[in-house]
Amino acid sequence: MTAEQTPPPRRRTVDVALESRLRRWTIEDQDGQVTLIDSAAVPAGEPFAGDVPLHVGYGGVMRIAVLAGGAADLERVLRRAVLASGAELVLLLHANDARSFTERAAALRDARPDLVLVLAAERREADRIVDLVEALRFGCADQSPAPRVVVAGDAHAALRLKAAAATFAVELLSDPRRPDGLSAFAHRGRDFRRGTDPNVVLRDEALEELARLVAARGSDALVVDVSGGSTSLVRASVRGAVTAAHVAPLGSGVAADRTVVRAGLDGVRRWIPWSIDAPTMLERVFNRARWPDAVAAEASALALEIALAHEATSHAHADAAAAGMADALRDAPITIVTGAAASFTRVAHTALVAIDGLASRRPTTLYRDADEGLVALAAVAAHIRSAGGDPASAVGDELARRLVPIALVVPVTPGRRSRLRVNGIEHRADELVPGAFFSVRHRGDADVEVTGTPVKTRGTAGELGIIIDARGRPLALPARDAERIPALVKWFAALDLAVTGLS
Amino acid sequence: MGWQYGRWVVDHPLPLGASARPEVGATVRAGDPLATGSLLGSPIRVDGARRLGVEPRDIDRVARVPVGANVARGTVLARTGRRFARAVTAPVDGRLVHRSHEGDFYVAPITGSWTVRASMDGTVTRSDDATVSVEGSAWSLSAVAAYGPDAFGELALGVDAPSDALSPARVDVRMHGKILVGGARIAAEAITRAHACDVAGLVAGAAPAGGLRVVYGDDVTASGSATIEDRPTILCLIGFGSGPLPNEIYRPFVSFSGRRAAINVASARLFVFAPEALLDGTVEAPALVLAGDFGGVRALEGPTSLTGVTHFASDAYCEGLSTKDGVVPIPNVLPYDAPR
Repeated sequence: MTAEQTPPPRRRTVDVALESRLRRWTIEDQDGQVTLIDSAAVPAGEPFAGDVPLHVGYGGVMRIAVLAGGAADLERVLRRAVLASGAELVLLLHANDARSFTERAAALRDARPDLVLVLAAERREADRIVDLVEALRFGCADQSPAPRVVVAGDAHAALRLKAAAATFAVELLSDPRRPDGLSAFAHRGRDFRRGTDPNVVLRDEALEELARLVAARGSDALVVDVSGGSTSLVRASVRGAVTAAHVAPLGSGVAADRTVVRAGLDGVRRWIPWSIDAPTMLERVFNRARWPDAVAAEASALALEIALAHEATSHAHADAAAAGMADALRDAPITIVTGAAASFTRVAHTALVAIDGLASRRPTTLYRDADEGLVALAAVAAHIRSAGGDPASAVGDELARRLVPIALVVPVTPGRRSRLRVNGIEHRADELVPGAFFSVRHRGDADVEVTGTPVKTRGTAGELGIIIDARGRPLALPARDAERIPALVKWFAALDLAVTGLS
Repeated sequence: MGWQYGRWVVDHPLPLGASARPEVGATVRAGDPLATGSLLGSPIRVDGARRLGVEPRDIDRVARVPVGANVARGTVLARTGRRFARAVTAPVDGRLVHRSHEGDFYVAPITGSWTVRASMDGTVTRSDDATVSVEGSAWSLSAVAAYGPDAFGELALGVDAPSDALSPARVDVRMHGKILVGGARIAAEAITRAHACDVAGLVAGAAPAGGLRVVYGDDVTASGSATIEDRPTILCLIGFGSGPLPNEIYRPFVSFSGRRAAINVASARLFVFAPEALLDGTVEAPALVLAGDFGGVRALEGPTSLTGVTHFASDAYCEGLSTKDGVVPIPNVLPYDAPR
């Protein structure tokens, strides 16, 4: 009788796309358990010997134009559909748009959409939306490749619109106002961006899987991903429902210039803790945008990237708010930061981006990814799920090892007699007054209570301890440099001291 | 790489309303009108198939005017040939711009005209209402971004050395119609002065991003923007802020001075129409280095050596490269023609 030999572990590679480079992870699969082994940053296209790697990428750019009726609630639904699909909304034309037929056609031609979503919520809107489709035919008839058209909404109107757009490739989808329609549209968009390679997992899908896996452990989870060219906010509930906003192009790297267009120069500059003139900052932003995977070698460049990450986060949240997802994508008991915002050397910088960018009103335990490990793990899980398997058992142990909390963040509006209690012990070292921002040294689980306020929470603190944020919401920065810069320096110092103070 | 002689295909996107464009196979010259068209006013929709009592798919059979044709008020657009004829006529002078899938006609008044000029000497390889493509041979230099309309003219040097900035004092009306080559930087004032002096275009290592914002608006990005309006044309070769040109890039400008050239904004390329033998095409441009504060781009010159994982002033740890100007992160060094 011989003992049955354990099969050797199977090694695979997961390539997580950065801007022009890759974070190449080696993973080991033994007895159905996935473990992350090691990683390295390599140039994209570097040859690889072995199985075809699983590639986590952004997919192709999908420029989307929307032709729809004029109802305000419809716009919210459309924005939600576009945010879920990760597409770039290049044009939104309502049936009551004041522009002439020619101007609408010119706008569609200039927008060069890859996909056009035509939505008629009611039958009586069909006539006016047919006019928009005629403008599409006039403007984009000779576009190469021709845009694809997706028609949705009222069944009768949809058939009329389909006939009007017959010179293009047209498909009918469920109404995106229904959850199944929203999901179908998001999948359609992702199929377009992914292409036909079965070994590609879109970063959006990996982030949603990460949120789902973490939420399955018992608490709703929010993933905040700021990358060079895109920003995502994803929330998963314990029951597995996912709400997501994937905004592109908006980020701290190759989309830095687009972030500045959205936020304005002063919007970005206000987060830099020293004085900098606008033209100088704009030149740095433009150079960064045209230099994929550039490394900030000097403190001024790092401060710029942090400022861009702040604004990318808050504008992604603003987009989510315009789509009616404001609270869902801000206040969760667990927040995980991934991407470029998680790659700053100092943990405190990541924490500041998440705290200030989201300006959440609820306590949250903050985590951050290291070297895109959680994203790689989630991509493996998404791959398993798409093949019909259960990813939780395969990646659950490794996920638990990799999820290390960095801080418990407690936003609070203190009263005159409010006292901070951590695990029942009153904290007197820092003054709890409106405007205060400080960190209490602590590691591990903590019960935090602020007397005289509704704050009574339990979470897990890490390297940065428990961060008490009494600066108020919405977070207001002084306009004048003479007040703004000392405030920022104080906030930076509050967290850095906590880092250096820990043994 | 840097300067390259070869065959290039240049696309020229057309605005709406093209009325004349070359046939495929036609020969064109950079700067010559390639396509012309009309600026259209708000069109009037005229009932077609319903009024004529025909099916929309039969409207072709009864139409008398092709889409795209100019029409005078009262021109018969379509007519049924029955004994009791029914006709549809143009309500205004203008152009029949579109026919709907339901068989209706759109007639738009003409409010102006536009012209798109070729930015390549060569042969037309595609011609439709959306794009005309021209294939030809030329010396070419890729750039990081371009702004404004396509530009054509003789190349002229505006600086004495590749590290000089193009100053407003060097721009005057004698530069009219020329493409002016700056060095490391174009002063913001030089952009507006060049436009006032009718200079065709400006080429330099870098342009001031703040100046671009003033000229092209707050929405301007680092990717450049092609326009057809009357704006200055700027080609940024290596970056923004300051970008001293390496000699391998600057010297050919001296050789090309006085030659015809074109800036194609959509592809951010400079084309120079000069014989292939004029330059040694095997000369490689040096790699480029992004400044540690992202404030400028320069050529990598002098001896270099790897320093391994290095701790930088920003607290970042990264593989470094020792250069004559200090240690730089490896990702901040890219070949001249690297996609970015």
